Amino acid sequence: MEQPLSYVDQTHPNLVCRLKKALYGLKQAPKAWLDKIGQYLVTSGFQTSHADFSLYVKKTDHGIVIYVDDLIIIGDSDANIFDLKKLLKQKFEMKDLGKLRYFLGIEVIHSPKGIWLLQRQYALNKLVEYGMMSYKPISIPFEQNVKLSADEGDLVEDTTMYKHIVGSLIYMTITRPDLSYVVGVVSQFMQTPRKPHLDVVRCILRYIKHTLQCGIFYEAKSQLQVHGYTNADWAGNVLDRRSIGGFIFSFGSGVISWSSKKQPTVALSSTEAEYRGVAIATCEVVCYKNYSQIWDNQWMLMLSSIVITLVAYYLLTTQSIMLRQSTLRCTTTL
Amino acid sequence: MQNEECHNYDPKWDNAMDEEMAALDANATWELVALLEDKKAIGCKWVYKVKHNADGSVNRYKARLVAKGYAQTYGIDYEKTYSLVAKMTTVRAIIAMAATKGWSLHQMDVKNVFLHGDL
Repeated sequence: MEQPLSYVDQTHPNLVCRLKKALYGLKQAPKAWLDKIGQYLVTSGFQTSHADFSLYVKKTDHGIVIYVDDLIIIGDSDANIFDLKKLLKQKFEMKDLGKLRYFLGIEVIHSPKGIWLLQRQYALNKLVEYGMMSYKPISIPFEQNVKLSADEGDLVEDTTMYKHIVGSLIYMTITRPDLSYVVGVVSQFMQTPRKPHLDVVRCILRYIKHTLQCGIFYEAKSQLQVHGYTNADWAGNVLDRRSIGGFIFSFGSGVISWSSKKQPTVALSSTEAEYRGVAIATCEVVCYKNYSQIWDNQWMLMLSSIVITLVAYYLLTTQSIMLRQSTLRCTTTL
Repeated sequence: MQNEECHNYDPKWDNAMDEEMAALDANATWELVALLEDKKAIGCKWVYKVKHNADGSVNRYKARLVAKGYAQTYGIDYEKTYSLVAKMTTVRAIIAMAATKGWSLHQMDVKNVFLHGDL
């Protein structure tokens, strides 16, 4: 690397810097850091989780989640956590932020009843930024049965703004499963947004204004079980007639994972659409199995369209469906 | 404030840059060597940032030296990259578990995070 501006060695201005340690901006910098901390954690008895490579678990019941330079540590005993913090502080230059309160713009509120996850401040900042504070709040984000089309209405002049807003909406779905579907709808028009699309985006922002206090609540002392629900519409997208499927999983009392997505293939019947929805949700469940390293609990899986699934089991025999069905059969017997 | 020209005239940025250089030196980030023939060194630049407190007042002036990583060529300058971004599901699952079992949830923040990695 060239010598840094205004710190060029006066006696050897022609020499260059040979990097021994990573520096911001280098392509390999994030990996170099993960290698370093990963190695350290493994030598101190942690295991990398199969569910997520930035999750490290130690059998004495505490885990670490790493998000670039932020670490979340959880554990059953405060003494263990303090020991670990002390070790990490010795090894790396770290700042102890105490109890988890703010993580990537998400507020974490502790109360004796449980833990809240909220994005109030973020949402409020965005409403101010997009000049939505003077608009009236509304109680639903999207009219039922409204189908947006890609080529009706005037083009939006400021497409960057549209992308900006949708980007922040996507970020807000981190604690808001209720926005998932409608954000999925407006994000399909990122390339050439039109007036009707922008109107829907405004509606979502007004809905957010109405529901600023909403977030996810994890109740203390609830039962640690996984519950899942899935459903799908049929040919819900008027442009390509593909179906939109969704699932939601809760762990304990609060939801941890959800999705609302257009299915990759065209379904010939509502049964097929739902069946595919179940298969996609099943893949998600497989992923949770890897978390069992940190939680040893009873499995319980409820799928709302399971009755239909059983019918489909006898009716549908095409190969791709057989494949999906076998994924399903393997996992429901977990 | 991300202006390269004006830093020379403002001593507060000098301090910030001195601080960053001290951190880099202490970390032995690089050694000075002669450039091999036919090779080109990648550039670097200073990025200036004003850190604010929650009430809007200035917390500190921060200068960071960044390498122009976009000039790196795959296979020559680097081979493996990986972005260590935790899945939000994992984060939520962890928090759900902490809530249910009444475990403690703590947070730490690494200073100069990328300077720790060895190349």
